[in-house]
Amino acid sequence: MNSSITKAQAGEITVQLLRIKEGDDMAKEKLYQMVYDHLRFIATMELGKERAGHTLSRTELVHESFFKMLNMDGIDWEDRRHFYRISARAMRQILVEHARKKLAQKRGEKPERVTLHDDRLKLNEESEEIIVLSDALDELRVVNEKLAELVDLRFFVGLSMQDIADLTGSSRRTVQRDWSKAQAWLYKKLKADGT
Amino acid sequence: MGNAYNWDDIEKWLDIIMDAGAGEAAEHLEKLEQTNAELYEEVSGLLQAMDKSGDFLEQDAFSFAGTLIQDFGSDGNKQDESTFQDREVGPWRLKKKLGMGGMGMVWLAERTDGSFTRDVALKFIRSGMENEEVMRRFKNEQRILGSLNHPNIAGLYDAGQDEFGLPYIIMEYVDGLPLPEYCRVNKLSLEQRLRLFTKICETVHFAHQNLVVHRDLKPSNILVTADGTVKLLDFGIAKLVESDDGKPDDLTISRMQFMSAAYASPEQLKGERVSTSTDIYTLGVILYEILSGVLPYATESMKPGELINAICEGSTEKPSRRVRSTELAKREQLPMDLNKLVRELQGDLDNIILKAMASEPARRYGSAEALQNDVERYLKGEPVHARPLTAAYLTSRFITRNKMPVALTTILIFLTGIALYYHTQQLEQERDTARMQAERAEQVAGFMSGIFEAANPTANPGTELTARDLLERGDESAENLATGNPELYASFMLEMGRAWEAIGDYHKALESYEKSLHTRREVLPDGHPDIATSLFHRADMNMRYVLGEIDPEEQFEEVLVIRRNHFGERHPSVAEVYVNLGDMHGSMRQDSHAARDSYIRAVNIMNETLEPGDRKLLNARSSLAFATASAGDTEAGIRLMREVIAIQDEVLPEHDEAVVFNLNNMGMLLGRINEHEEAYGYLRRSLDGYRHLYGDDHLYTGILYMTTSQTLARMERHEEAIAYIDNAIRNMEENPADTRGYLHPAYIHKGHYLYAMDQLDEAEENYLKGHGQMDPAQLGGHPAFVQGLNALGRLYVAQQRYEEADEILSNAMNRYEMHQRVNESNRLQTRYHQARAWHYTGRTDDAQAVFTDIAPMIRENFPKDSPDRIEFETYLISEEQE
Repeated sequence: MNSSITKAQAGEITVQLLRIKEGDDMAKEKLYQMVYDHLRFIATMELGKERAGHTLSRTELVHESFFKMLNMDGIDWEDRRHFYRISARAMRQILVEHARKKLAQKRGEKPERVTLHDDRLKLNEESEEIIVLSDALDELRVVNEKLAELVDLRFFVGLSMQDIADLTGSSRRTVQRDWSKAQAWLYKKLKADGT
Repeated sequence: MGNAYNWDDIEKWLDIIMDAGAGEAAEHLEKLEQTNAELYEEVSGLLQAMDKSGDFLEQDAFSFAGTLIQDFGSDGNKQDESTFQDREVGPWRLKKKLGMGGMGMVWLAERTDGSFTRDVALKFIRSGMENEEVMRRFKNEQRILGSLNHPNIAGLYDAGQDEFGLPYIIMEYVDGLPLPEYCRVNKLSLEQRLRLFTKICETVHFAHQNLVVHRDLKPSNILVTADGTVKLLDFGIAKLVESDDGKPDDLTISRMQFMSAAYASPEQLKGERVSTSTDIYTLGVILYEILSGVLPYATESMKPGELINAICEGSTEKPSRRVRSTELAKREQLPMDLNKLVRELQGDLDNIILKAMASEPARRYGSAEALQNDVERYLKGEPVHARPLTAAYLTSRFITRNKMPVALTTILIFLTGIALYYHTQQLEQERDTARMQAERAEQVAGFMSGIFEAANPTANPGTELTARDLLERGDESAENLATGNPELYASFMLEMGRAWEAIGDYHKALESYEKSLHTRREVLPDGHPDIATSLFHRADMNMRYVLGEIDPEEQFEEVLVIRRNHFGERHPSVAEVYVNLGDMHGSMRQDSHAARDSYIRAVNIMNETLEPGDRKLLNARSSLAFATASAGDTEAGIRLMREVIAIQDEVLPEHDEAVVFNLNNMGMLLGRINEHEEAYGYLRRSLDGYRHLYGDDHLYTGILYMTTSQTLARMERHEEAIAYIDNAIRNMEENPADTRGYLHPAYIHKGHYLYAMDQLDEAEENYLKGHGQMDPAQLGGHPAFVQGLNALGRLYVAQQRYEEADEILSNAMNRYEMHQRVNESNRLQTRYHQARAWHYTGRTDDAQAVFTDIAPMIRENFPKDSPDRIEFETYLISEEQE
C-alpha cells in the first residue's frame, strides 16, 4: 500500500501556502480553486448520502468535513490564517451560487407551488438571507477588514472564539468584543436595507 | 452611512462605552451627542443594534442556512457531479460516478501513470471519525482484509488520502447488479435465487473463517455480474468507521449513516457486540427480501425509531404471510403464482429465514455454513434443521416444566469436592457436557418437536405429556422398525440416546446407544463410520457417567481406527475422539500429561479443519489449557486460556455457553496462581453470563456464585463472600438438578468464611448443615466428606471442645485407612488438628510426635502464605513460647 503519493498531494496545499506568503497572488487563486472544488465535492458527497439520520446531523458532518479534515499540524499560524480565509471565501461562494440558483428556479415556478411546501419556503428565505448577508459582508470588508475576517472565520468556517483568538494572536475578550461589533454592524446594515 | 465616518473613531467610542458602567456610558453618549451629532447617531445606532441583534450570527452558516446546504446534495444538483470527473485523487483519476454508498461516493477510476491497466472502484470514506484514525485502522486491518482472496469477494487493492486528507480505498471494480435487482431483472426462479444465496453464505463463511465479519451486508454490497457470479463488496470496511465501544449514543447519528437500518441486526442497533452472527442475521434479511420480494419490515412507512424497535423485538411476519399481506405495488413479483409462492415459503423456508433472523444471536444459525447447509437440505428435499418457533418453545417449556436439567446432568461422584482443585476438575467435566449439549441441542430440539408434532397435542386437549412419556412412546414406535428397517432403527436409536441424555436419563441413553451400536454391527460391514458413531456415543456414556463395564479407552481407540481409515487423520471427527480421550485421561485417570497430549492432537487437527472461532476448537483449546495447567505448567495453561478468551471475545457473542464457561475456567486457573483480583473479574463476567443465559435459579449459576465466593474469601473479602455463598445456597437448596451434591460444600464454605470472621457458633451451624447432608455410605471416602470432618475438628479445637474434636478427627483418620483415594493435604490437616486437640488434653508427647512428623510435609505441601501453613507456623511459635 502506497501512501507516499498522497503525502505529496497534501504537500500541494503547503506549497501554495508558501507561495502565498511570498506574495504570489496566483497561488492564492490556485489554492482557492482547490478548496472550492474540494468543498463542493465534499458537500455533494456528504449530502447525497443514503437517507438516514436527520438533517442537522448531516449538515454537521458536512461542516466537519469542510474544515476539520485537513491536518493542520506543522502549518504555521500565518499559513493557517491564509488557508481559512480562502476556505471562507470558497464556502461563501458556494453558498451564494447555490442560493442564486435556487432563487432563479423559484422565479421560473408558478407562485402557488412555492407556498405549498414549508421546506421550499424556508429554502427561499435562506437563499435570500445568505445573499443579502454576503453583500453586507462585502461592505463591512470595506469599512473594517478585521471584523469582516472575523465573520468569515466564525460564520463560514465555524471556528470557535478560542480558535480565532489563537489564529489571530488576540485575546479571547477582544475577539468576543469584535464579534459583537461585527454582528451589530451587519444587523444594522440589514435592517437599514429593509430585509 | 457607516462608511462616511472614520471607523477608528466609531470603534474608539464603542470601546469606551462598552468598557463603562451603565451610568457612565450614558454620560459619554450625552457628551458625544453634543460634540459630534453624526458620529453619535452612528455609535448609538450600533449600540442599539448590539442589544437587538442578540447573537443572530451565533449559529454558523451551516445552521443558519441548513435547508440551503441540505439542498446542495439534492437531486437538482446532481448534474454538478460531472464536474468532478477527471479529478485526480492520489495516483488515480476519477472516470465515472458509480454510486453513493453509506460512507461516501464511489467512482470508477483509473491509474494516472498507466502502471495498472484495469479500472478500479475508488471509494471515499467519510465518517464522524478523524481521517488519521480511519487510516490507522485500515493499516491494522489491511493484512487480514488483503488476505481475503476469494473469487466471490471483491479484492481490496490500496488505500490512501486525497490532498485534503480524505481517505479512500481502491477496490476491484465489479460490473454487476445488486442481488435483488439481478433476481428481478433476470426473473430468477425460487430455486435459482436459493442457489445464488448458498453461494453468498459460502463466501460469508469463508470470510468468517478468516476472522472478518462484514457488518454491513446489504444489496448494494452484494453484486451479481452478467455471467451470474456473486461478488461481495466492502468486507470489514464498516469496522474502519465504527466507534470502538459501539455505544448507542454513537450509533444514533453516525452509525445510521453507514448501514441502512433495514438490514441492521438488533445487536447493531442496540450498540452491542457485533459478531459473525450479525452477518447471519443480515443474510436472513436478504433471503427474506429475495424470496418474498419485500423487506421484513415496512421500512418505508416506519419512522426510524419504530423500525429500530421492531427489529430489536424481532416482530417480523413470516415471509409467507407477508407476501400475502403486502399489496403487489409494494413488492417485487416473483415469476410464480402467488398461491404457489406462499405454499413454497410456508414451513421450511419461513423457518430458515426466521431462524437466521432470530433477535438473540444465540438462537440463530451457528455459522453461515449451517445456514447454507439448511438451504441446501431444502433444495435437496431433505428435512431442514430450522424449526418453527412454537415447537422449539414448547420443547423448552417442556423441559423447564419437568425440571430436567438439560445442561447439567452428570453424576461424577468421585469428582465432587470442596477443594478448589477438585472443583476445577468438575467444571472441566461440565464444560464438556455443555459442549456436547450445545452441539446436540439443535438436533434434540428438532427431534423432540418431531415427537410433539406426532403426538398432536390438539388431538388430546388437556393431557400434558411428559418428556419421558414422549420418549417412551418413541422407543415403542421404534421397536417396529428394528426388523423392518434396521438401518433407520439404528439411526433413530442414536437420536433417542441423545434425547434421553438431554433429559438426564443416562441409563436409558446408554441402552439406546447400545441398541444402535448392536444393530449397526449386525447390518453394516466392519469398519463402517456409522458403527464408529454409535460406538463413540456408548464409550462417551461409559466414560462421562461411569456407566457400564466396558473400558471406554478401548472403544475410543476402535473409533479412532475406523475414522482414521475412513476420513484420514486430519478430520474433525478424529479430533473429536482425541478430545474425548483427553477428557478420559484427565478425569478418570487423573493423568494430566496424557490428557494434554490428546488435546494437542485434537487442537492440531482442528486448527487445520475448523475456523478459529469454531466452538469445538475453542473448547478443545480450553481443555488443553486446563490440562497444561494441571500437568504443572499453570502459567502456560493461563497463556493458552488467554488466547481462547481473546478469540471468543472476537467471534462469539458475549452470552454464549462456551464463552461464559471459558471465562469461568480462566478465573479458576488464575486462582491457582493466586491472582485473585483478576480471577474475580473473570468469574464475575462468567457469573453475569450464566445469570443471563440460564437465569438465577439454574445450578450453573449457583456453582458460579459459589466459586466467586471462594475467590472473594481468598481476597479476605469475607462479608461479600458470604453474600455470594448465600445466593449459592439459596440456588442449590431445592434445586433438583443438584445431583452431585453441591449444597454440602456450599455450607462448608460458608462455615469457613464465618470461621475466618471468628463467628464460631455460626460456622459450626453451617459445618453441621453441610456435613449432615452427606451420606457416609455414599460419600464416606470422598475428600469432601473428610474435609467436612476436618473443618468441624478445627472448629472444636478453637472452641476448646477438645474431646469432640478428637472424636471427629479420629473418624476422619479412619476414612483414610478405609479409602485409598486420599488427598495428602487433607490427611495432614486431620493429623495436625488432632494433634492440637491432644496437646490441649494433656497428651503432649503424642502431639509433639505428630508435629515433628508432619512439619516437613506441611512445609512442603503448603505455600508460606497459605492459611493452613500460617496457622501451623503460628501455632508452633506459640507452643515454643509456652
